[in-house]
Amino acid sequence: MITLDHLAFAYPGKGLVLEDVSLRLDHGDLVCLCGPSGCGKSTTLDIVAGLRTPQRGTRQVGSRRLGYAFQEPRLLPWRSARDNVRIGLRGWLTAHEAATAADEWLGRLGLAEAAATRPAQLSGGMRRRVSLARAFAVRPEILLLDEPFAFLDEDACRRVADAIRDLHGRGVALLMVSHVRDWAEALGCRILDIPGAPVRL
Amino acid sequence: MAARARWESDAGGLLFGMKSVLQRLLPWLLLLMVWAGATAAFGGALVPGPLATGRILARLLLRADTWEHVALTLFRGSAGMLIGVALGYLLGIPCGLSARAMRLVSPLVTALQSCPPIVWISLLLVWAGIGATVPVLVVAAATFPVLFINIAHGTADLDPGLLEMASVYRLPALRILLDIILPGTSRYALAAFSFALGITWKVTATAEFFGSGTGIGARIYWAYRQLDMPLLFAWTTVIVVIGLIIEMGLVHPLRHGVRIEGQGQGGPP
Repeated sequence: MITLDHLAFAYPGKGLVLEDVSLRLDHGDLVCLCGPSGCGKSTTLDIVAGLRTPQRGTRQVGSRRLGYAFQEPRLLPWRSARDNVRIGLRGWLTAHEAATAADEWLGRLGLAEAAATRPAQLSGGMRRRVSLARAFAVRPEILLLDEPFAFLDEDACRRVADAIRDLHGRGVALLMVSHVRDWAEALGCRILDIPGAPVRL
Repeated sequence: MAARARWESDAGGLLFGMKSVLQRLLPWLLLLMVWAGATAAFGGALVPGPLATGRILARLLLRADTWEHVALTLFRGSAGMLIGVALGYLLGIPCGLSARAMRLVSPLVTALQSCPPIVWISLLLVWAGIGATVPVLVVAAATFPVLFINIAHGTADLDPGLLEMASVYRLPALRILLDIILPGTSRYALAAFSFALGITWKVTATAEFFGSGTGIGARIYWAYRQLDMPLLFAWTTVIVVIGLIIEMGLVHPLRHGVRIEGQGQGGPP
């Protein structure tokens, strides 16, 4: 599903972030990259998502059905939470189906009441959950989650973990980035520890 | 006692209302006084007084062709601004997204911006002759640079994270335009619209003065050619009143909109 082969990546004018990264994920794999800030975890997710091009090595991603919850929620400030979740569903669901799917995922993450609310009126944790709902709602085959449990209370973390388990049951390949190992372990993730940049895996 | 208190309260309200109306009227009364003073100083032949102008204006407003000229000027101004806005978006968005395109187009727009309308009027009179083309294109040339600059800056200031999100979720170009670029640049666009509206009216009349046989600007030209000062003053009053209506009805609400949109998000340049 995802194959990264001897990747090297550096941002312009900066040193290598990834030096020699090789990683393979198949259907149903749950992998968590753990490590300190700035060590290249998010860059790895961006490369998988096709947002960065590695200077060396190859990247193969076997599905276009990809859900990505970025480190910052990246919500449209001028749209409601529901519309923000719906945005990933346009083109392959009717408007009604997309709204139903969006409401369902918002409800599962405890945001049913906030569906019509704009991001500026939501707390940081709620915004993160909207971003997660957007990633979950596209029925992804590949799920990229950047710090999905950050800023969330215990109940919200449990809801997110349940959603991940549900998607995992449908064969999703999960590549997650996290500071905290507890939830990754609870989900049964294969944890890859990264000591610091440049990353070698 | 209660009745007296109510009467006092009503009287107070009335007094406050009258004071407010007086405050609003005061600048206009002052203008009329200065105008009447100028008439007294220079004579009615050079500076027709408010009453003489009012009489001609009343006669003017009862004629159907007056409204035709007003409608023509408004139509030309709107058409020219529409072209300026369309070009502003059409070139501003790609230049906002690509620094290379911006470097290529920006000097040309700056050159265009530094051209006074009179240059365009002269050129267009030669190229297109007298008619509607001159005012429409002059307004387009005058409004395009400000639209372009604002839309390009607004697009460049968009959160790149949103565009990356759009790419991950494979949003088609039209959705990126409608869901991200247009709402994201709306503050900048509103600021540009309010500026463009303010100049459109004046530029249209100027272009008509030199380059068209019809429209308010052309009527001012004919009044000037015949040295018909009361008529010149009457048309000037028409243009000032319409300018004020545009300012109060469109430009002010737009500026108010920019302030509301800009709250907490920073303002356009």
